[in-house]
Amino acid sequence: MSFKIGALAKEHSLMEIPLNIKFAFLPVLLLAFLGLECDTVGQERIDGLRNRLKEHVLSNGMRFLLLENHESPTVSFHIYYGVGSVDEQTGHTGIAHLYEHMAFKGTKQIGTTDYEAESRHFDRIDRLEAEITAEQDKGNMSDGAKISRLEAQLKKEQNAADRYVVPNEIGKLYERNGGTGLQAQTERDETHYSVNLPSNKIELWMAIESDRFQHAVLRQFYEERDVVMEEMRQTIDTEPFNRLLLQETITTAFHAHPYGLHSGIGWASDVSHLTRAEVQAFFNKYYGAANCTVAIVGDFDTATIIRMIDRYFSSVPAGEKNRRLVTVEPAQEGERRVELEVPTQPSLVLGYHRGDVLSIDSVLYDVVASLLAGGHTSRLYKALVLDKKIATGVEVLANPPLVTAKYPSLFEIIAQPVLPIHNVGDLEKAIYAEIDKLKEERVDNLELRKITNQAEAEFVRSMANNETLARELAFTEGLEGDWRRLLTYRQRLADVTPEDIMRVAKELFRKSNRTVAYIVPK
Amino acid sequence: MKKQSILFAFALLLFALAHAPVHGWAQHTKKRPIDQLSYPPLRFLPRRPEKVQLANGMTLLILEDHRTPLINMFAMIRSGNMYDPADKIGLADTMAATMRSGGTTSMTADEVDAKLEFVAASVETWMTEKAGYASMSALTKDIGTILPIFADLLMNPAFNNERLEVTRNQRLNSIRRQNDTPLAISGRIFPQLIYGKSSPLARSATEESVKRITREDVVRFHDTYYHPNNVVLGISGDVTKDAIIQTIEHIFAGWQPQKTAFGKLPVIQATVKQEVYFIHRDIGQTTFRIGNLGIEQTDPDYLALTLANSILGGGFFSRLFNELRTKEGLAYLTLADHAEGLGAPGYFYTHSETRAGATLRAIEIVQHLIKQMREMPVSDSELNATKESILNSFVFDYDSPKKITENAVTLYYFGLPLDFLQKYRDNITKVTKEDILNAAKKHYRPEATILVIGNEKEFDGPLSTLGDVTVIDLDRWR
Repeated sequence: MSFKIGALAKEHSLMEIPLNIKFAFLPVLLLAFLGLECDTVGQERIDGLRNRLKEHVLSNGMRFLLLENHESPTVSFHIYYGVGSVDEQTGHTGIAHLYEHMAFKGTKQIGTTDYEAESRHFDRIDRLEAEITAEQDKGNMSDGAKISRLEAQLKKEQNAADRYVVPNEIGKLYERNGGTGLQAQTERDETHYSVNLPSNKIELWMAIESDRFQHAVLRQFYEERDVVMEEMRQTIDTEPFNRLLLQETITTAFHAHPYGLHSGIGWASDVSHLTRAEVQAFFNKYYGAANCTVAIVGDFDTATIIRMIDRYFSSVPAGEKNRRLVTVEPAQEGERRVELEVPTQPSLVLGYHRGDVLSIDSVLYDVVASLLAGGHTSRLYKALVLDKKIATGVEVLANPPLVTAKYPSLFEIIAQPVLPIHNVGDLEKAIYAEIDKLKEERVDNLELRKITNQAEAEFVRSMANNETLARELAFTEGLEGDWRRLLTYRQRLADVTPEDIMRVAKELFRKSNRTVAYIVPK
Repeated sequence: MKKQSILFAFALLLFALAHAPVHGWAQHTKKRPIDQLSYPPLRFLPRRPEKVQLANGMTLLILEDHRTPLINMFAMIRSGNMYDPADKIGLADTMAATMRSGGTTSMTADEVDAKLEFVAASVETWMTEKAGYASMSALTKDIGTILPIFADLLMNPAFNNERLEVTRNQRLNSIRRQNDTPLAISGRIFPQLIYGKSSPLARSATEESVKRITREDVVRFHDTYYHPNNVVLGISGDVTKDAIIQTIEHIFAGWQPQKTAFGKLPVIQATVKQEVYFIHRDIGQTTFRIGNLGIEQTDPDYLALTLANSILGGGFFSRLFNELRTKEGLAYLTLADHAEGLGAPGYFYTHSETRAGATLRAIEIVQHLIKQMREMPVSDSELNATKESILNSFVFDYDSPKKITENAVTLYYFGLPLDFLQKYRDNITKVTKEDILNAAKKHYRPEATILVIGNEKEFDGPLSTLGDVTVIDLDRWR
């Protein structure tokens, strides 16, 4: 709705670091689902979730997690596909994200007045585009006049197809019917699609989503590829800090595993060469029911919604379940450093190789992240910002942005120096001194208890929010294979001992295990 | 510092919603299954917080809701960055930040942090141009410990010198980084071009102005504005009305009302001719804004203008989205909006980004779409879709007691009736195509201000074709 109320959204973040990115899975979100054995508030809610959630699996393999919540007449939907940019190959980077854009272009029914007539132009458009690209790739030898001529022909052909196009109709249908929070996001390990609707519009979601993931049409393909090129310029080219964090750190830390292939959005030269046929093949391969988990939370009747799900989604082809990549990153044999010389203020990112989300140490990475930077009383914030006053902000992430640790991942520490007195070198030394303490000194029980309390409160807060809950359910089921890991997480947390923390700190925080990335102002 | 979450997401700017005429709402030749769906009516009764006036002048807005064992508070305090002295811009903001971080007269900063964080409660304080804010969130079981801290921070902040220095470092850091991205530059500079760069509504702190701020200034600012009669406090969640009123009265008992002399905002002059400003950045993508001074949200034209903005540059329906992004592939981010407008006139603007080589072409398209809004009525289908979208999504403004209460506090603070949102909904249905055309004619001005950020060498032509260009050197821009 468009009435605007200013300044309701306060940044509660401690850091002054401009993390201009959509964080997929901050530790605080993971911690959102903790509980404490002694605390009945969280316990009641966990029991409630366990008993009320209904799992429904179709014969094609599509999994639905259904949770009624009648607090307001609204419903939140979250679709999780187990495919992301980690599944891409050199030369085709960015294809997962480009498909995500194309998923909004409609189907044979939605987004067109006459699919048959429209699609007759596709072959010619593809051929012209291929000819233009081939000519452009000749570089200095390319024939400008030929390119202009081909471009004019292409535009004509695109206009002919456009006569039948109802642009952005999926988005329009949702908007018109009161949808909010309509979003899609491509991460390394997954691609997910979400929306909230008034609860009388559930069937609209069924109709759109069952159609778009069966009969997707990649219309206006090359125009949308240009949009994605603009998105790359905006998020990577104009944002030096994003380049450091999303691109330089991870591509330096990983040599073998495709986490290190690119920033997640792809390399510009790859994206500009992707074709409709290639993206269609990607869709056909990965967007089957077997790769899909859906969570629905809100105001509905479970028996009724199951009948609707069966009617709409049983016909979705199963497809093949995405296979786990076999590539394992070899152990790092020495510190890696990368410097970015750009016209901006200095920043520092430290990355340490860690295990994956299912490893027994996974919960420990979250605890260490909280100990180091979870609030004003956390160790790095106190040492760097409050006491030594050498940093303006510090952030610790159990995983890099857009990585959810389906595969062994990175543990990251991000900080910015107080200028002009201090530099990233000062920060680096001070951080090492602080994390070394974790290796040698036992964490006291009160400090551990603080972290579990925070988790408890976050859990209660998120239980009241359909959107968050749907997201967490879909992610835990899709990524970890069982949504109940949300509930057992609290036990894993309760089992954490000070000795575990010392052990994992010793394993993580080794010089030879780290990547140091920083910005030097140009 | 506002965070923009736009990376890799198919980010949709859903604050305004409209449908594009340019292609038209194509008529489907055959009836599709999706058009045959019918929806049951939505059962939904918006709730409203109860207003209570305390003897010390504080206004409470209370909404009981016992479904979650959680209590939220949200206060607005009559003050704002606009009351900063001209030589100490950044004072109000520094005060608000240090109020939370600097402890109280009876508790050290470390004690406050430790107590709050041990039970994962949050207390936050911050400042905007037109108001001070404070919020609290705690589990019901912890309210006995947390509420007194919240009250103490509001009434008796200590502004510990050490913590003041941390705030100062953070503010200086923000200022040093303020030109790091074109998005940040346009967000800061454009309002200054609209309101005037020294206007209390748009001016920004400098390193010198922040360094000049002393602890005494901070204490004085708090003493001047933070009185109970200047406070609207929203309370939502697991409370019972009578009990919480008693508690609040008891806890704030020592806080005495006091009259505050509020300075008056200078009159804002609208520009009289088209103005073009250019900021050089050595990057391959151009960012540009086009806009002009707008109106207050109480203005009779406001609803029609809201619909016009939606149709021009809201979500999937909008003309900007469909033309500049979908059809031309020239932009990822493109939108139109009417910003601010509470307590003072807001401003209309479009924001777009495009590759440098298409800069003038993209500006021309945006200008053309704005002009079209002034010259031709919108289509029935655009109007209907936009209205439906607003009416159908209305329920999301009421989907949590916290949200309902925060909206009510904001409305009350700015002198709008508490049933404004419900009325707004009814009034939306009455807006006609003529209303929208009239609003566009009046409030989308031909004498707009254009701000372009990028590398002119790579543009598809000289900017001077748009008019006289004023080059802004950010290092000298004060």
